[in-house]
Amino acid sequence: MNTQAVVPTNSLVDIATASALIRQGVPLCLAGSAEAIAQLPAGAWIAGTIPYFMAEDGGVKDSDRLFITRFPQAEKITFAAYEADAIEQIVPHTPENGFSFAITPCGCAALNRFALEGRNVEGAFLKPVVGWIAGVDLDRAASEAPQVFLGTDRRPRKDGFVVAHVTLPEGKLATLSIVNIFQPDGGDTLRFASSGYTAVECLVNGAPRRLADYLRERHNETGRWPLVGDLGGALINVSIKDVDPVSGQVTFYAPVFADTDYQIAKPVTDYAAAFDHELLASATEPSAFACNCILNYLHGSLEGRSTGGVHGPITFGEIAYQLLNQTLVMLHIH
Amino acid sequence: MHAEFAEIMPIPPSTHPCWARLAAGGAARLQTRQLGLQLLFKRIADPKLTPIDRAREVYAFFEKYHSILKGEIEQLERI
Repeated sequence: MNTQAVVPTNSLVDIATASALIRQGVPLCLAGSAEAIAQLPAGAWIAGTIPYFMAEDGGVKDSDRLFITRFPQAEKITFAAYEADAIEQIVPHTPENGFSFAITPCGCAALNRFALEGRNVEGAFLKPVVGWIAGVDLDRAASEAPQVFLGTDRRPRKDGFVVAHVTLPEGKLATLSIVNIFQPDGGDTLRFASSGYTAVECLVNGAPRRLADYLRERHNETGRWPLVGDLGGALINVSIKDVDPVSGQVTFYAPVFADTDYQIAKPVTDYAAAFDHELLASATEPSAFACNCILNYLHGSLEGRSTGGVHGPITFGEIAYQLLNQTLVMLHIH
Repeated sequence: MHAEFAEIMPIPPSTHPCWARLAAGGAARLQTRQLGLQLLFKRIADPKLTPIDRAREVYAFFEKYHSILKGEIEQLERI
């Protein structure tokens, strides 16, 4: 193996290649199975569990290899792990000129707080936080838990964030963009009385309704189509995790916000074509990192299919300033 | 080099009334595809924020990212 000649930047590599880069002192952000991550040597890296990737050959599940991201443009990278107070730590520790790359386990308390309160953190939109939510092999979901790792101690964490704080040289700027293939259907407007991960009631065009009844009426009781909110012109999805037909409680993968109007998304028939179209239409610049959502992989049958030539982990949620669902997130360094 | 870098536009000073106009609802009329700015516009719609705080946050964003906000800066006088 020759890692001197070409050091991969955003690639699925074998464990030996990732280990060699770590031993050389190359700072890395990694995604892979817990078994693969456990074989890495200590060093300057962070990692999260996920075995699904957008690779050169399209969507793939691979528990033996690791997806590595590095930032050769960086002037300096420091790594940290934060616990329940992550929301108070990440942005303040993000360099003035740079960004933070964060990974956190799906469903953990620190993520829940970040998702609800992250947009209110001072400086949250001046110092970008990008990243993804660690998950598990869906075939082993009952026996495994999402985990993240800090390379210096290699200890699995089921709560909190691991973060790479990346300083860019003067004259460079980091920005984030998203590709959302979902559009609001142009029909009813939904509003929630409070922000949160669950709801029983909502207002539909101003009239109180049981959300579960409304979703059934709209043939969306399986939650196949997310809610789409307009946040300052950005279309932000909230994916539906579960609809309890007895209690009527609807659970979401990200919080709904009380100050936001939502609509059900228009159905999408060909996810891969939709991503290709949106990437082309937005004339998106090359990305230094990208990730896409496991729900797009599953519902869109993206295994073996490429999505606009973008590579990265397929995750249980995405971070671009805040928690996102069913969205392709990209980091750009200008 | 990205096209937006071709001509870097200066932004109006922090005392310019355009920032107060943005903070007072003008943000809804400004067209942008910058995700950070879109989400910031949503944040400053929070009625708990003072107009001064809203204007300060928007100005800080434009000050930092002015090199990629040519189209947005061009709109500032019109909103």
